[in-house]
Amino acid sequence: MALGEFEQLVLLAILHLGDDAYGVAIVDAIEERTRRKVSRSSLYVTFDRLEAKGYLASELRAGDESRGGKLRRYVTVTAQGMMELSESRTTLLEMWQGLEPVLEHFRK
Amino acid sequence: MRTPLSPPRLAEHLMLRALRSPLQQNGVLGDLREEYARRRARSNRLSCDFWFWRQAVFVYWQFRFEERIKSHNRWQSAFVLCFTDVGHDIRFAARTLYKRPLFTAVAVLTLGLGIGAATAMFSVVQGVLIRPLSYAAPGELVNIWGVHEEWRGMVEHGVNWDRGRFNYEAYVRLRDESALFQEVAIHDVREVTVTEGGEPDRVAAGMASISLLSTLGVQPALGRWFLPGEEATVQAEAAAVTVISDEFWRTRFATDPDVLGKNVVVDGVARTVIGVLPPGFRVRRLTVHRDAGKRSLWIPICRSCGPGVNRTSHDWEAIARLAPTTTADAALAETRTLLVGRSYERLENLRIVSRKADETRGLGSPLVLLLVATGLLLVIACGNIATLLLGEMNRRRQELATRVALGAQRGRILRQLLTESLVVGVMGSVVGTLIAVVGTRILTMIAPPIPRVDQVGVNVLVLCFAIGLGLLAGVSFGALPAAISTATFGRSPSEPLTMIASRRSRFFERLLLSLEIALCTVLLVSGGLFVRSLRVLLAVNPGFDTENLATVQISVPSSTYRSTDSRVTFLNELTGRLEAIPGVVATSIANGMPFSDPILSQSVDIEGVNSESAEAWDRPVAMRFHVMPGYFETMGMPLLTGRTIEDTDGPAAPSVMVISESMARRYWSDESPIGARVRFWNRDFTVVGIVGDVKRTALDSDFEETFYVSLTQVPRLELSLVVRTAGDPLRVVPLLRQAVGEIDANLPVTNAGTMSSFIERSASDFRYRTMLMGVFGVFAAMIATVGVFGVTARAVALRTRELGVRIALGARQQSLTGLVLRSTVHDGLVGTSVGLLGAIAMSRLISGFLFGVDSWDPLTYVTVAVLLMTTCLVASYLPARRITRIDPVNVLRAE
Repeated sequence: MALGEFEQLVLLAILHLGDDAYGVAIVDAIEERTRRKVSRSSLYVTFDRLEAKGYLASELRAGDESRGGKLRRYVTVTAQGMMELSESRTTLLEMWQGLEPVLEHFRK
Repeated sequence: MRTPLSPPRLAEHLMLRALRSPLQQNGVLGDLREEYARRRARSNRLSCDFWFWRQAVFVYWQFRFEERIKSHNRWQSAFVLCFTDVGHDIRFAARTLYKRPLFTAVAVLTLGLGIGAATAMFSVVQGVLIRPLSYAAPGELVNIWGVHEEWRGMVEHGVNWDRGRFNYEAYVRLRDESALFQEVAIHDVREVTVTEGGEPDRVAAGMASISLLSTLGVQPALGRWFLPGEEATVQAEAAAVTVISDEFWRTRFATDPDVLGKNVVVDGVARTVIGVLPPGFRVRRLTVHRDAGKRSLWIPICRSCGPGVNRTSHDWEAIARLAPTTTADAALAETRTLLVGRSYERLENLRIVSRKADETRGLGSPLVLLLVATGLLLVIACGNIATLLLGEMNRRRQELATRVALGAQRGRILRQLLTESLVVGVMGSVVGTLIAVVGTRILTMIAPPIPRVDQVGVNVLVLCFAIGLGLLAGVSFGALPAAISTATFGRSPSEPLTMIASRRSRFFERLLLSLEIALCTVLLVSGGLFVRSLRVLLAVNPGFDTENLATVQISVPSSTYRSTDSRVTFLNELTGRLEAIPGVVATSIANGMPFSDPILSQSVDIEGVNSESAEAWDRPVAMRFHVMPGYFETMGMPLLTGRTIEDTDGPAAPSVMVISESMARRYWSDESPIGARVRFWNRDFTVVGIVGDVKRTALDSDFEETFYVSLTQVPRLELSLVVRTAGDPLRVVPLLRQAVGEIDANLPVTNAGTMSSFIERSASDFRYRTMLMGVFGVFAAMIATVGVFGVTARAVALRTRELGVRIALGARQQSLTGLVLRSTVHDGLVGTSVGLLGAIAMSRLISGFLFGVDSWDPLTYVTVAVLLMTTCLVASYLPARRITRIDPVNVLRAE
């Protein structure tokens, strides 16, 4: 099943962050790299959706005191998730193949 | 307890209602708390709280509805999906409208005008008719009316059979013995002279029972109301106290907090201020025309205080508060038992009426008429926007057809188009509300003294009305274009979708245009009938010469001028001073003037007409006036027979009377009344002359039987001075004040004005309605003109290809212009014809408001029809002229 654009961004951000991937850090990572605002609620819904599909795994660990006692939900990409991400990348690259001159012309 | 760095608890509770699993609660809530803390380090609390609340709402929305989408309930899922799509549709509509600024501006402004007019009118209707009275438990308040039988004969002379006033004994009996009234009160209004530093002033004072405030459920803002011992039955026992209004306190005492205990001299009597009423306190006298209920001060009842207030005097209006669960019928039965049949309370037509219904009586019809007119204006505006939308749909038909081809459902597109219309409707509501706020202020500023006009304003109900109108209008003008645009999808594969949509939309465009013109005709004809009526009304001869006639009022205190001689001396001296004023051509004094003073009716005995033993209600009744010599000459009233009041008709001379033409016709139809004897107040008067009839209160009222007696033979204390001048009559008003002041500096001179202005004021209701109907008609014509222009322009644009081919084949451009114009003329004729029929139907509803003009007045109908057709022609000619600029070569090249 194809991944949506936002789902891809989330999985890629998780990969960038490694073991420190949790909500706040993922939002920072996406906003910093893409310079786009991220909807918090959409992010958490995406977590649940990806986990339900088996692309994501969650683990609760302690956070700092600013969380008022709430644990952090750390997420990692599963093997199935990596396969889907890789497939999405391949699909995109194949579609882009041969379009470099067009891109070049657009940039000019 | 919330710490400085902790987010709003309520927002967290909201999220917890949507987050079910520990994973969600920890992850979402914990992350948002962490981010909140980070933001608090660099931003103020308000912006951080706002951010947190936004996140909470979005989380609640997504998790709560996301959960429902996963549920197996199809209808819930459909509702959720539909609801989620609505947000998308609104954003799409906003983007689409943003890309078409001219269309959006025209549509929103047109709709705003219609909604603004309707909302402004509704705010007046709401304030005057709908809003409850501003008293505690207003539903319990009732008026009690009962006409004394001796007044039965005066009904045709202004005594209101439905609103008979009470006497003091009836009030006392009800107050003490009724079980079904919680409270009963009576009140009256009169002009008094207040002397409190500076010039004496005439103000309206209320006289009321001790129970008035408790009946209304009102408390004084300062001090107290009257106590039981302060309501008296004889002058000597009357308490010299007063309760002043908030406005009086502000203007006379500069809101002095120590005003209690200070004195105000009222009609020569020093009264102690014991209380101040709250701002805006009003109690209207419903039997006084256009009484707004404003009183500068209140004094307690003194049953025998003042002239004319005696045991059988019926001068009081009664207000009562029903006991809870008591009905008006039950209270009426009890009141009959308590009052009717007593020797001095021969009351007839006893009625108990809801105070609210009574206060708004007679106001409903004209206001509802104006509201209906604004409703028609709004329908015209909606029709205009519908034609605009049809034109837009035509322009977008390729876009819509493409979307269908790509798989869009018809229902989805229909919903999106309707959403666009609703967004225009809401924007129109916003603009309309702004127009209504300004419009309401203007309406109330220029309005004649309508009762309860102080209750008019833009409140929550009015705002809801504006929004509701906007949504309704959005659906109304959006449904047809949306339905037409999507009607042909998938139905006629052999014919291009675009062609079918174009033909059908053209048909409906023309149909809507005809409807607009028809409604415009109705409004213009109604407005035209009002205008004609007003002109006829203002041309009515009131019976006297109104040119250069000024008048002022004075009230002579009985305490200063006790004897008849002193009063006659005062009158003669005043007359002499008035005649000496430069610029005065003629002058006189009377106890009342037409169009500015209350009617004084009097029952009389006429020798040979009625027997002396006749009951009061069987006696002849006429209007009574007391005048000085020269009155008729000053007023320009014609003397028909005999003579007028002369200088020789002094106190020692035989009492004389001059009667009006209508009185002579009624009681002496077969003989001359000169020399006839007429008796009233135990005194005989001889008729010496007949003068022409005069309108008393309104130009559209009938002439009433009137008699005039000499002021020096029967002196009165309420006087009107009237002067005719060579130049501007208002210039002599200061000299009139000076002449009065030279005799007695304590006499206030009030109500200065010209007879022309008083007559104009008497027609102010009529003028107000006419002006508004005229304005609505003009607005309707403007909107319809824009509609005609737009439809014709679109017709030319749509037919450019066809017209270009025709020109290429030899057709003359002028004849093609005529072809397009004929289409508009046809639509205009259809609309005007239907509109004239509609106007005839509407005129039956407004015939009661017209004067001197038939509701089917042909001049008005023909004028409106010609004007509208001419406007249609001119409005369509400009866009039609573009045909002359069509280049057939370019058209064929494009083919």
